[in-house]
Amino acid sequence: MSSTSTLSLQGLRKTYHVEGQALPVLDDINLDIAPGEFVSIVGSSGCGKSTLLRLLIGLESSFDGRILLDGQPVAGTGLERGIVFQDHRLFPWLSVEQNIGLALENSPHSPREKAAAIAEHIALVGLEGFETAYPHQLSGGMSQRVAIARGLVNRPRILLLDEPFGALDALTRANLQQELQRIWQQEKITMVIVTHDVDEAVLLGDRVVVMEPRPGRIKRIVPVAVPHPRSRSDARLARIRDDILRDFAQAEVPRLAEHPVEPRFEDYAFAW
Amino acid sequence: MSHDTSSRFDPRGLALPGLVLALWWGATASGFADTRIVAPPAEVLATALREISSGELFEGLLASLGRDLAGFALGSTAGLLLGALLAVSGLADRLVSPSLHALKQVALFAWIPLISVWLGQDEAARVLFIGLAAFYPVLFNSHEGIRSVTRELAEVTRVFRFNTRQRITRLILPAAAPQIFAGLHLALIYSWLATIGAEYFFKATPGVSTPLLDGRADFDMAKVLYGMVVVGLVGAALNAIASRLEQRSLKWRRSR
Repeated sequence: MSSTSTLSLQGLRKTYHVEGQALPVLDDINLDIAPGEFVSIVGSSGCGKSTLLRLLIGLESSFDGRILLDGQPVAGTGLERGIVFQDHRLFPWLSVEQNIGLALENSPHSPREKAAAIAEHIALVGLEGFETAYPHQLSGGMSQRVAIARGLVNRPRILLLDEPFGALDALTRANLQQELQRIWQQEKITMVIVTHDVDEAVLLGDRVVVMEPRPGRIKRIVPVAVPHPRSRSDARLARIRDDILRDFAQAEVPRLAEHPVEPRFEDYAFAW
Repeated sequence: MSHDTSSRFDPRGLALPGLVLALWWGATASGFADTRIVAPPAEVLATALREISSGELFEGLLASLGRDLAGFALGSTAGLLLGALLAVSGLADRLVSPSLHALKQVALFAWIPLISVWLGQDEAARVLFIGLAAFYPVLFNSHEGIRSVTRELAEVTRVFRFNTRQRITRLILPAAAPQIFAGLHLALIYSWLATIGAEYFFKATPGVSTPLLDGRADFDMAKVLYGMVVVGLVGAALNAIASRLEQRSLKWRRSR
């Protein structure tokens, strides 16, 4: 599997500065991800798991520590890393195939190869027949399928998923989890999913990274030694899930909500 | 689902104009109305046929539409460029926008004395006046439209490593298109109004308002009514063309 890669996080720290005060969001994250591995990152809100993913994709800069992809430090965004956001983020004025094609805008392939890649990935996510549909004509689940196809069409070495099914209803979510499992097996790609759904984390992940908040740290890493494809009714998964859920039961200490981290003004301005 | 019901023809809309036409005809034919003040429909029609056959209608239309489009192009280009600048540069926005909002309050027609002193009474002054009418709606709408590009979609373009040109053509322009089109649409209507105003308030010149001016001077009400019909029809046609273009280029939007 030479097309996949190892992601290595070493002593990763991220601090926001809010009104002159340092607010640590990630503290000393160390994690190695093997080629072709499926890693789930689970934690309650505020544990910095989404920030971690934004660091990996390159949308957040200024951090301490190292993020290495195949031994090379990650700088900014790159086509070798794909992402699926919680909100599908499709461009409403583009059709399904045009939205997927957006990812290929800067790929070196010929138009013919691009068209083939788009068609192949529409088939991969099961959306044949919807090539020319616009986002407003799609359900939430279908939109997220398009987003997955868009994330994969560049054949990235790693696909990052930021609570990709968090906004979907339970049935659609269950369906897409199975689909994602199938796609992962078919594409043999490294995937990192961030979620607050322990069931989802255990169903999909080869390992589940449990995070704890304030500041975001890795509490422990739970291996899920159950072969894929997995069934959600598997008793082994249920045992692991219950074990992880106990972590969160202890962690529940009542406290007032903290001041939300406001994005800085520069984040809104155009980066060019 | 995405059919626009307003564009479908409904004959019930003809009832009121038909009634007005009938009353108009009845009032003038029966002698109830003074035909010197209310010209009969037949006379208006005769005037129209005369103007068409003499070529004066087309000459006037050509002159007016020419200056209308010149002013529209000038004003909307300036509005689009400045609107884009204000949307992407926070500094420019803070420096210029308050003044522009204040300047907007100066009624369009209050510019006429100043423009005529600076540029005289001729075509340059008329085109500038029309351009001013087109400028503001395009400026404010393109400013708003470009600013409404969400951070979420901008991040997607960063993930796919778009360069500046790709960001503008693939994200910013399409995202701002609905508002830019709305601004251009308004500008097209305003600049037509301003075209009539420019022909009225600057030195007389051939155009669609010639029958209005001549008709008033000669107390020829048929000519005045004919002139009003022409101005109205051109305005309606411009509006219809703009709506059509707008709908075609924004077909991705969900039904309104």
